[in-house]
Amino acid sequence: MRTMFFNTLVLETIDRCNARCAMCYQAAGPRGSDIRGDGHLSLDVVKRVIDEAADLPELTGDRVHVSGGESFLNYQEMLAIFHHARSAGFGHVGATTNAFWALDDAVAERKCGELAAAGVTYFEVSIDFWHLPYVSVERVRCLLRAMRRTGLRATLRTLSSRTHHLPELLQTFQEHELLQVVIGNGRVQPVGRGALTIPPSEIYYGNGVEGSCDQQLNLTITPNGNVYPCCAGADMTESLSSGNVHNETLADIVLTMRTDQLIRQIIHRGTGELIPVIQQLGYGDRLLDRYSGICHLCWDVFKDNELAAALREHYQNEQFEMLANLVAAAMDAPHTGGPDAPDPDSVPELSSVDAAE
Amino acid sequence: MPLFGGHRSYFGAVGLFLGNGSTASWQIPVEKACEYLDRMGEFQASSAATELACLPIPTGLYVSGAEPFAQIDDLERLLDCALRNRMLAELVTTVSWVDSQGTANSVIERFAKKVHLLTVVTSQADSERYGLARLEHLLGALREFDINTSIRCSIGPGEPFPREVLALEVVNCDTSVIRVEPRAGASADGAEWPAGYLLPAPPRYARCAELMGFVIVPGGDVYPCSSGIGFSQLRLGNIEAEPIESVVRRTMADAALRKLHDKGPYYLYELCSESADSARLAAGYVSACQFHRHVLADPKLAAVAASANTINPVAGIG
Repeated sequence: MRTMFFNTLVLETIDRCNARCAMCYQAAGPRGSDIRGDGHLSLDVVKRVIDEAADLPELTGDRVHVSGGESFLNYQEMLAIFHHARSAGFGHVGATTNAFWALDDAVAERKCGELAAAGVTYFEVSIDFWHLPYVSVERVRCLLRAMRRTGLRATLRTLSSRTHHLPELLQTFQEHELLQVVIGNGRVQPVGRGALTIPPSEIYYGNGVEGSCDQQLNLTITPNGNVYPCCAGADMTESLSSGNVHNETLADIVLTMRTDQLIRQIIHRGTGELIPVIQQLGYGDRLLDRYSGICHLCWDVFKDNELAAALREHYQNEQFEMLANLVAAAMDAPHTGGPDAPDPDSVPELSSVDAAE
Repeated sequence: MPLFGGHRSYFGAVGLFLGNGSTASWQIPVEKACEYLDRMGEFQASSAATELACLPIPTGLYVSGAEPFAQIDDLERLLDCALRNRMLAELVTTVSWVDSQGTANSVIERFAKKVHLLTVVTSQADSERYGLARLEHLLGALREFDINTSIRCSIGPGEPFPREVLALEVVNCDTSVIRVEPRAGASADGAEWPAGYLLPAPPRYARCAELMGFVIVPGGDVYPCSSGIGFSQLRLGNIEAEPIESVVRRTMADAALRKLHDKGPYYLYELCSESADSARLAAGYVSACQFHRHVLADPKLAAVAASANTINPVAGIG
């Protein structure tokens, strides 16, 4: 039985962003998300979620990560969240930001000092070709300089496409400003607003949809309170939500997630395995000709509520059928177990078994 | 429930240091390396949900030092052992062994299901010696077989930023983690680094937690980080001489190491700058690590630090 572990608690506290980048997978902007609306997790709820997460055995990582939208639109709230996360025992506490608040060196250094004192240990700073119309490189440079002097670890989150490579983006940085900065570069994805605005000719499609994501899970709470196993596109769907923190405890929601056969399928076997099932269910015409990876496929399939419902029904039926076969085999088998008893290693994953772990 | 931070881990990973020299052969027999990993695996299993649980689940194995691909068959044994012990292996390599795209593909294919992350270390000297083709071959193979990729470029004072590496198609076409860092040991006084780059003091909040591991070196000595290897003051013990459990127990109870873990070495800077030996501090530092190494390597500054009971007390063990 494979277990579901999460590396990080991700708190997407707000849908709003001061920028409205063309590639944004969350489709965020000054009025909220084009897809998700204008949600905001209240500080009280965030604190409760952090406290509940601190006791979750499935959260094996030591990290709380805050993102948005642009979560620094509420600076005082961020200070309170970081302080609470550190007080709850999380060691790695940080956020993604576009650095709009690093107005100059003095402001950036003062705020980095306040944030570090509150418990922040790192920031991931977003910058790419599509951010440039909204946030100046100078503010990113100010923030990087302040982080280095303060001792906060810096990751520059960049995106590439076929015509926009890293040197174009980094040419305005002085060389030594990038020393000791981790550059985490990814491919721009046709997900969220990017699906509407990024031409396919710009996208690196990569090796297709092989592989799974079970080593890369992050327990994610969205601004409307929904809970997901990742923050890479699934969080922009309704159909993959396992519950809402306004109505249930995080532990109950994680139990629901762990016992959801559809989510287990996606996580452990990979979304690529869904393609023949989708075709078998008669929805093959809704598949795209190609996907840039498993996250693109996951978002594209599960943003379609009708297709998602059909897949969920399929896997629920499969689960019931397996359970019925298991019960029948147990009823038929001699009490001592015998040649007809099911081999435990061949028994499919069942929610009841998982729940009892 | 563990005493030391709930289910949070004290160490980020298990480190296995194969020996000095990034392109050299291993200085540890593979049998011994596997024995260490098996013992770590046993310790992990027996300490789970106890006060000694100190490593994340799943546990990373960071293999660095000598060139892992210099001994292909040994590497396979080592990685099989890591898998048996449920460790996710990260290998640190160079392009020294990559003589063609074919070599890169065949070697990487062999290890595709056994390596979680491969970090390629390069430098200006490597670029001059090998050109960029070897790096492109290796990265191309990693893309082909879907292995997570990280690139580390070390540069010294006056050396150019490696923009040509950042421009490679094979870097831009998929997820890459790139870190450009000052080469260890380069220019302690910092005269050649660009103006404004050196920090007058180590950063106040640069804590060590993210860099800490349970790093085992040939011979069984254990250190809390790769940068600390060789500094006797940081030696945590020796797993040839005592059980892993006792090394971990002593380490996690060590207040000075805990302070480095949680807050970093800035407090040592405060101590040293207020001491009679403050003139021995450098004019500037590139990082908190460089500052810490400077203090540990300077007998008088090390004595200042030791006088405040800031050095891990395992002298005499092993």
